[in-house]
Amino acid sequence: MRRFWLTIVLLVVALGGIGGYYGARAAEELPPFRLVTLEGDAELAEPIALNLVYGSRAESEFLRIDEAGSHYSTNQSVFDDLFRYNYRYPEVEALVEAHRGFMRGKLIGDYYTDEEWVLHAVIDYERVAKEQLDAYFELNWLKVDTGKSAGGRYRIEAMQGLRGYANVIGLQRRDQELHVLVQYSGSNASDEQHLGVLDYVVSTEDGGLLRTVPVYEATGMNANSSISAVGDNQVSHPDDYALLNVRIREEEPESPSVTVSGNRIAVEAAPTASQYYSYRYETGELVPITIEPDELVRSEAERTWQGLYYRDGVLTRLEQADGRIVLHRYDVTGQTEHSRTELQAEQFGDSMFYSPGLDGDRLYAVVSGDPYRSADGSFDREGIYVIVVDSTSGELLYKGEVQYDGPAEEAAGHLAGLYSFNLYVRP
Amino acid sequence: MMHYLKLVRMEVHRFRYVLAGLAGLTLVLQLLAVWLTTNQRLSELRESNFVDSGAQFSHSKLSFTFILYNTQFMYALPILLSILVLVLYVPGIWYRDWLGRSSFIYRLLALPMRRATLYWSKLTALLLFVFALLGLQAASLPLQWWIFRAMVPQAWQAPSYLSDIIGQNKVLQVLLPANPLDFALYYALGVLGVLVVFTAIIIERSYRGWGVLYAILYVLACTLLVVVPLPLLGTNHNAMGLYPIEVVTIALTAALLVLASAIWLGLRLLRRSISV
Repeated sequence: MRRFWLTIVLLVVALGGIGGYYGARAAEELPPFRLVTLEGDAELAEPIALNLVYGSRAESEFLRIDEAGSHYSTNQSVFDDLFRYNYRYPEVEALVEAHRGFMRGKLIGDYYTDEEWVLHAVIDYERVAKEQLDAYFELNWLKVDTGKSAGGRYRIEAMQGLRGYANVIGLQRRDQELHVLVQYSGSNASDEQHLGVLDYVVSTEDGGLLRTVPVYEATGMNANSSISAVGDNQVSHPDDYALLNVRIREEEPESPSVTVSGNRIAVEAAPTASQYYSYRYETGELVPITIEPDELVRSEAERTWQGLYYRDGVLTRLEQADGRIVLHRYDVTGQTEHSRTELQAEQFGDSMFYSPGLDGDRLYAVVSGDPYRSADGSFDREGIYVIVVDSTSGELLYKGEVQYDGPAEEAAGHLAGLYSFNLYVRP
Repeated sequence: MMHYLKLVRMEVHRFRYVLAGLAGLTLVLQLLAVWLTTNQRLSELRESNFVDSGAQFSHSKLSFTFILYNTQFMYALPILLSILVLVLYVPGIWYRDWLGRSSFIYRLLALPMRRATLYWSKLTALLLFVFALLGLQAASLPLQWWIFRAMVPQAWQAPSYLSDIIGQNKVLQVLLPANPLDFALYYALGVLGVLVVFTAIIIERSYRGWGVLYAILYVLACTLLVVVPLPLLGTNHNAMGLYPIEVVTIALTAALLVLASAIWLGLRLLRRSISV
């Protein structure tokens, strides 16, 4: 045995050193937190997760806090990345789980789903000459009850002779007709800019193109002009309307004025006209919507946010400035503002709103204190709260608080290290 | 079994001075790096008239994490040198038997045992060298930390955490990943590489002249099989219509096939194509 002493020593050093290292890392736990219900319906917290940063150490750690506890990204394995589907949206992941065969090779694009059908559309380009691409959209559909799928490839004629791009901005089914809203933008040989939206209507019976409805068309504007769909989620659901935001930017001035103020240089930008429209799939009608100008004074606010949300015929504009949120709701069929709700963060326990967002009629937000650290590295706040509010009435449906899941005497120190809130609500 | 243990012991014995040199160099250079950097930072603090602000983390306090961040090259140098020596010793562990005095390999091959024992003993010895140096590296961290604490007055010390400390040095991050599963993956790939090189050496020794070409082609084929599936099939695009989990499964299966074929071919050639 004596002859093996060196081998044994090496074995002990190897096992002891590496084992001790992983043992020490396991023992050195990062502080645990949990989202705890204070008021309202605890079930509403189930899809909520708060992504934030724990910065009470030399290295800041990213973590997610939900009802189940806290999950730090530090200890993630490379396998977590390799085995996770690279889907940007959980709804797409749900479609893959439910329709694995149909979704194969369709991880990029736009989707529509209802109880009976799943649709997928994606833009494809084909080079036909040195500087000429032909644009197509590929549309595939699945009838859920029979499991039968079909599809086709359709040329976007409007892109002929244009150097530019196309996007699918809407996908719907009306009985046996499939609607694909395609936005295109590009310049022709004489550098004239074209921008437009077409509604391609395809039959589910034989995949034939039934008609192409020109929805919007403009020429001669700045190349930075664009059209997008409000509430343009990766997965669409049944809706009578599409909400379009057309931003036409005028030609840049030939000699833009430049102003220098201290270290800041401002170049005069071409004015942009923004207009909202509702497009009704059934009739092909495009109706402009008048939206009231912003009412919150932003220049004095530390944190501001504005978002537009559309669902079921209601367009909601969410404005946030520090601890104030105003929600304007427009009826797209009547083209009128039909309600306005205002909320103050103080109502919910602290001075600032963070990461507000709408899901249907529910407003989700984080309520906490000052976003900036004081000299000792802590934040001036009462707590970190997550709220769910009925956006039509302002009624509080749920209030939860991030709490330290350990000895009470350590709580203040660990909670003081949490910052950079980003609320995530699983669909 | 006894033959195997004796052969492992023999390989350890033959490499003991190199291993001791690498271990000594790692310990001394890293301790020196920590000592020098800590001294330098302490002088800077003294010159700037340190005032305790009471904050847990402050620019006027020193943490072991901060010290390690400032020792990058000198700290990583002995690790990189050890890696280089061990990589060179993968072919060296075989060729020293062939190219040394009186072709020691023929005495080894003539021993009354299965030749596979020789193959496994060389692999075991190499792994023992790698993990012993790694274990020493992990074990030396507390020692370096202790020296830091001994040098810096209590009031000037900011707390450090093991995960932060490892995160300060890219080499340590790769050698000692946070997740044990990653550790297993990285070193399994390392073992695969060692076995492919073992087989390439045995191919070369079996066929001599043409063997060099066969060995190069073999290594290239294995590298392609293991490396190509992930970028070709991609885990984040759907060019081939495969789901990411399927791509990863294909890549892992390819790696396992290469592993199995390397062992099978290496042992078969060692048994049949190399004659004493």
